[in-house]
Amino acid sequence: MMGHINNLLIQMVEKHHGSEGVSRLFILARIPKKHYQLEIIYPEEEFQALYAATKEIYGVEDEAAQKAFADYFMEASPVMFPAIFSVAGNARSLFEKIPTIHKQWPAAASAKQFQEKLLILESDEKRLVFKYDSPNHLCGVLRFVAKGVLDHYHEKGTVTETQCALKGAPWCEVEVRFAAS
Amino acid sequence: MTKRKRSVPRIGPESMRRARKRPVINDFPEPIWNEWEDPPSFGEALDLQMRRHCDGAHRLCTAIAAAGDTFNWATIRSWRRGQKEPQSVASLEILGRIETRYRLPLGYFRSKLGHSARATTGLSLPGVRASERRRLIWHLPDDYDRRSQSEQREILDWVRRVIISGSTEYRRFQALAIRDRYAIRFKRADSIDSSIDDEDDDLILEEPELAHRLDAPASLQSEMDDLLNFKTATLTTIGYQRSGVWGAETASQKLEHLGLLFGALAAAPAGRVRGLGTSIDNLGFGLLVFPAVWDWYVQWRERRRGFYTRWEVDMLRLGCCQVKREYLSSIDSRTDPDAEIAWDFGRQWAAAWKKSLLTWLTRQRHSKVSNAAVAKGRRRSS
Repeated sequence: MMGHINNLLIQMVEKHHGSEGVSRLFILARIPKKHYQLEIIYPEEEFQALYAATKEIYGVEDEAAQKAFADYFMEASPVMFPAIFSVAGNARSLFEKIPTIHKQWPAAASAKQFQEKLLILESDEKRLVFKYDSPNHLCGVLRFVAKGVLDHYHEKGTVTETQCALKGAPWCEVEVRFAAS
Repeated sequence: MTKRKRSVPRIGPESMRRARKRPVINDFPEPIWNEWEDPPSFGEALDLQMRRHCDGAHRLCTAIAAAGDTFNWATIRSWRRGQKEPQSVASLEILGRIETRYRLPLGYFRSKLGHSARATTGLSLPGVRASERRRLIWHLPDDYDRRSQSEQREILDWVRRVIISGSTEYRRFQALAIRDRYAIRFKRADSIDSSIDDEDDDLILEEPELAHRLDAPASLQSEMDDLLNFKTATLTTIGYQRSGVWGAETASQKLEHLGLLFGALAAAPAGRVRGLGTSIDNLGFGLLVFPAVWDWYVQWRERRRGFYTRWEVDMLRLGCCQVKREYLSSIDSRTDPDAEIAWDFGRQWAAAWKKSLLTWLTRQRHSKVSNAAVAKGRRRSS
């Protein structure tokens, strides 16, 4: 997982539980306290341990944890990446930029380890379909973030997970349907 | 008719109504305790000694000031807080006075400075060109300015003859570096020039990395001119914003640094410089918005030297300036696809790198200081 996402998770815990919460997070995750370099790819297990520890700190189930993380992601991202959000101008353009964003993000040092987990299977005026295939099973975060992006641009639409790896499918698929404006 | 002044009743004893008398400043104050654990860093050591002698920054400054000093108490405060360290001849002179005042061994504070490997600044070398001066200054004694003219001449002659032109390791380093010249030369109408005249061999020896024969292509030169005009003009064109103005010296330095950067990007990957191999015609400031370019350059610098320096931090700061939030409106994705992604990433990465490099440099400095303290302790015990 990209260090940026690990950092976002830590920042969310810090926002709600302070620096003590962050210390507890690392203790629960059994990882020495550290700062992640945002453009470097770290082992997935490390993210999974941090994520499990986050759920424990918040005392919530997986769905609520994914919703909280997606909300924080959508709170932080437009501030961190104003050009991307501003130039995209609408939800579909932003979604379509995702593969390029992911491809450009890792540093030269980590580029070889990069594996795309999110692909766009279809995109037309009415709908866009994501394929999500990751051992982290954060399809909930993808759903909530997609909804957050629609809200960010004040667009109407629906987000549905049409198949889920946790329910036996080979991968997850999330469909975004855009309402006619 | 004159108004009679109303008498105000006086409150409190006479002693309280007097202006507060400042305690007398002794030249050699008695310490309030005599045993202490010697701190490794300069800032901590100065702070401890000042507390030992009940001195504040103001008081200490007043105590050691001599006629004609332009030294400010705030400098002592910044030293004490570890924000700055003395580096110039004048500052080192002040350190000596503090050591005398506190009856500490000569050189006590100096031995704790974190940047002992840095050349002393502030020596006056009239008639010596800036580029030669940068090389000479490493080899001159701190009291060079206070020596007689004949002694100064003798020292300069010796340094030039033995170190600069002789067969020392330093000279060998210079000779090797000359073979690997890679900087791009920018020209400037007002005589600021990033590189040096190839016909002047002495100067080539002085700045080997800059002595490249490759002139900047017209398009890059034109962008550089625009940037320099923008950064050095008294007022910007209406509608443009900038963060900071460059003076002549800074402009000249930036020309050099950007010449090195573009030179590294253009150098052949298979050559000794191991550059990025970008075609010289493709060089442009637009490249500097892409994090991957900075990523490569920062790592290349580290590979070349073996460690990071403040130089990388300054270059990243320059990169950050180009992706300020205020300049967001200047992005045109129609002419430059994905520029907004590079722009946002550039902001995030450069800021993060700058922070990491600064932390790393601070750690490196502290570890140097503690290593020096350990070595000193060992020497004492043996």
